[in-house]
Amino acid sequence: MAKEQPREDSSLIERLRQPQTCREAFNDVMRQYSEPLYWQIRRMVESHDDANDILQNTFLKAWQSVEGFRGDAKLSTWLYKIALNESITFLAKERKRLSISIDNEESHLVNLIESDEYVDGDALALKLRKAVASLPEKQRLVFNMKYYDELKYDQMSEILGTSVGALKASYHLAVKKIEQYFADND
Amino acid sequence: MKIEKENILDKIGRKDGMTVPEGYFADFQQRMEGMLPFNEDAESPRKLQAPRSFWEKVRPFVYMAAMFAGVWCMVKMFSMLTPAGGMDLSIDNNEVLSSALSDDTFIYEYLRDDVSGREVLEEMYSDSIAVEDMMPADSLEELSL
Repeated sequence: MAKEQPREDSSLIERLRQPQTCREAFNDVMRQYSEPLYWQIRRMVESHDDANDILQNTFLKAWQSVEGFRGDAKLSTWLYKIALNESITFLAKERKRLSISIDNEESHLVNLIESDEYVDGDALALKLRKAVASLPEKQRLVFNMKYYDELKYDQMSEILGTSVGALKASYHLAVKKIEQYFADND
Repeated sequence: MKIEKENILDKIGRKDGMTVPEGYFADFQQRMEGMLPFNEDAESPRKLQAPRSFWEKVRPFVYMAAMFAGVWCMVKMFSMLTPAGGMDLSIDNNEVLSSALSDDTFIYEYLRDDVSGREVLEEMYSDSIAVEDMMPADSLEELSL
């Protein structure tokens, strides 16, 4: 399961700007980014089917606004932002649909984790997923980006619009809570 | 399964235990390629715009300069027409008018017909002004009522 970040390609961005090559270049973008974006989304929404729908919407939105992408930000940052917004919007809609508050979202996510059929059976990893699901939304997001996606704080700051200091504090808090979760659920 | 606090994340590593259906990413890529609609903004050939000529570039500045020049000319013209020290429109300062009004003959000849002699005299009497003080003696004879 390769979850490495693709390298930025300036020629890819240049091809995205040309009418003759932009569709082909966008196909390359999807080839490079569908996997890292999928995992980012999946860790937020837990269900494969939901992650699949959100990833689809993410690329459709990116394609619709590709003309507006000037290359000022990194391609990955731009795509991450779209995927993140789509995930957060989806979670908010789900909370509304199921009439659950943001504080009670944990039990809903844990149910999804327990009923997930696409798992490798690693008990520790499953426990960590449940621990992460117990975190508040923002901390969950920060933890996933830092721990699983191994993003730098600078890039996270650009994507989330939060200061590096606040992100470090958020990550530190998240780790403490996860450790506490493991201590409580031994 | 007791795990030391500080080693939890190290022991688990970056694994999240999630998987996807077999061949999911390849299928997804193929599906998405067929789903992308025509993007008019990005895929339409851009219309080339002819470069602006020199005159088109400088035209607004030329118009603005002409407007300021016109305003300056108007100000200059008014200042040339105005005598130094400003315009004094009082009768005393008008040489022709003051000499005419100080000439009794002029007043008698040109203004007399416009006013009733009786009214003038009545005004003068009410103001305690003697007619003799105001007019020459020969004129009084002619004005005898």
